[in-house]
Amino acid sequence: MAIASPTTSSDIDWDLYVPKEETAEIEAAAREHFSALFSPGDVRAAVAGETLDHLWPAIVEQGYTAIGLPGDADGLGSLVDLAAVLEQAGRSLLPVPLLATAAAVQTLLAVGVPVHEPPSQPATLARRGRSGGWLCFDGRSAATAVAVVAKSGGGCRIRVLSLESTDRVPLDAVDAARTDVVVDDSVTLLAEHETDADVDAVLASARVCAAADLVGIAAGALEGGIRHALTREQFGRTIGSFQAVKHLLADAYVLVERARSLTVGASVEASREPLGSTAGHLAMLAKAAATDAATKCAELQVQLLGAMGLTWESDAPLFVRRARHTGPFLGTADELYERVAAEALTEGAAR
Amino acid sequence: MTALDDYRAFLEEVLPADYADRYADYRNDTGLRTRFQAASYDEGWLVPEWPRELGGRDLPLTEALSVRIEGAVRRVPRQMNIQATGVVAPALVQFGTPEQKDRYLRPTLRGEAWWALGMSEPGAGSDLASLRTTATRRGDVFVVNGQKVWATQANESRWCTLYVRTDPDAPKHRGITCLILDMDTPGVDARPIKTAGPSIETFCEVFLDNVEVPVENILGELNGGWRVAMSALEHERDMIWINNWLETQRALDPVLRGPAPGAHTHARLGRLLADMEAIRLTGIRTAGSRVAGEDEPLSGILKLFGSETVQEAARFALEVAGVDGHAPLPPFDEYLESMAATIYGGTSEIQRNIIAERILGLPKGA
Repeated sequence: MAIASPTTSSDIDWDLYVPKEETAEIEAAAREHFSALFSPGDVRAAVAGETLDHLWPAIVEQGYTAIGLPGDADGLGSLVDLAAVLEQAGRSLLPVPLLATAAAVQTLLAVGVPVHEPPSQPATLARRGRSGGWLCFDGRSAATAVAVVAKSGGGCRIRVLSLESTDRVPLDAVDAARTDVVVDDSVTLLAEHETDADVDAVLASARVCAAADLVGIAAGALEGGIRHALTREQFGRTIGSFQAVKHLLADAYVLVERARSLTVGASVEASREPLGSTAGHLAMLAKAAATDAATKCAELQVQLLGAMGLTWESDAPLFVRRARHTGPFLGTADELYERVAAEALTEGAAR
Repeated sequence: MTALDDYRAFLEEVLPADYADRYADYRNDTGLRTRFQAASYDEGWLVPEWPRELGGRDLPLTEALSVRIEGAVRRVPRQMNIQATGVVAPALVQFGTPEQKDRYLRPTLRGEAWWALGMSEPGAGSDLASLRTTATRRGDVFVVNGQKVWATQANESRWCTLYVRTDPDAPKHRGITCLILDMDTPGVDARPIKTAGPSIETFCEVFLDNVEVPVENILGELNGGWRVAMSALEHERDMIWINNWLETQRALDPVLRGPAPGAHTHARLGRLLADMEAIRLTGIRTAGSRVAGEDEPLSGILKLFGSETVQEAARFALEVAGVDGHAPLPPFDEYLESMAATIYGGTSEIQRNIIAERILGLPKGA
């Protein structure tokens, strides 16, 4: 349970919370590489619907799809490292489906499906569509989709769908770089797995991935807001020297760190005890907090930039689009908060 | 046996057998609280990361933090005069002379002698550096005149860290000195102020009329008081977040264990649960960074975030309990008490300025 229980919360595995040099190196390399690989102009074009599929091979070649995979699958690093990379991807508004692919692969790993090598093709997660079929997040170029479906008596089924020879219907998206697609029920089932764990436990790693991306979006928007506040002058001084502006930015920073702490905690828990209920709950809270942070920071950046923030030239609306498109992925903030609270109430009543 | 096991064994030994089931009843048992603090000090558990000669157990930072978290989740008896161990003792260790440490440290940590913090004045709240209480050197003593306010438990305290202006001509931050004041000195008058409710800890105004303080009672350097004050507020940041985390849990407990509130409250409750976990994880992250030798600015958010969370938890518990059309007394008292959290030790507004300027790099305002 997300609420620290007296028996466990002081038994902290401190090694897991001391920042590792390896993580910092991977993160710094990703930051540098992403900024060299594509420009804000590329992102702007992708968000408007231009496809940047040619960037994907570079992502694979640089090994980003290998991060967080086990060593025997030619993997590198842990889920904590993957979260660090995805945060950088979020920060730079990476216009290829690394988040979707990582979320799909991590979900398979969580339930013990062997992954033999880093994926070379994009993958994604799918959920049941409102009127049948499957809704695939950022699924325009995905080769496969992983669907986690609850079984009526508890536990869940994990279905691996092939999207390669299927008609996909793209949905209008505020962020076309992550266009969702719908496929109908005739889609080819490649494999099916079962587990006794519930959906939220199975999705813990995927939610960590989404949370990391959203924390990155939040951090990128906050950085943009701070940059502007440091240079823009009104009334003869930089607007960042006004308390009204400072307090908005300070509160936004707290929101970012709140989400980042939960994401770190959830990634540590999900690595320590995959399918554990603590990881499942923490990941829900992390994902919810990251959604809050991304949407708030994106909006704040627009507000601080003023009218300029509402032009197509500005990067600020790109953050708003990315935050609003990805925010509801794997559960809106309110949905997740509500579910964790309802379970805490059930558990509390039983104590 | 790990340090944590040792600590658990210690708790087993010193706490009443029914403590876990009845800690709410024991919450105001002053006898137990006093005995528990003395026993904790005697065994080195009060300041476990400190060296043994100062009363600690020489534990690494992380293990000491595990011990403190264990104490919090077991809801160990609260110290009677928290600022003595949280603020004064670390300042004595950092700035005290060997004689001062010898004289004050043990009774302070053991809870035998209480301390007041003589900081705020009627005209100096958030702008502490504008304080006007004066100390004039006359032979071997300073003669102090002025007035302090909001000094918690000053009427019951043995000593006080008193911030006074010793150089009226220096820039305001550079003319302040910290003196150790014996509260029994003639001319000291500590008067309790009636608080807005019984849950608010007694605070006092302290009148100082030609009070003589021996020169050797300077803590730190002459005119170096601002540094003492600032590091006093930095001390025990771990204790502050653990306490906020615990208080949030305590506020939410009746909601979680009582009759389930309606679905309309769930999203807000979930946000609070996220806040609570985020406080814990942020505290742990900052400790992890310190172990890695990194300078960690992150701890700067813990006061703001922790105190705002405690307050929102108390507000939520009151609103959930008040569904029959009135505000019930116990959650109201908790709520009123929580209002202090965003005021003392630097208001939320000051914390936001500090975060913006020191962490985000924004320029100082006018």
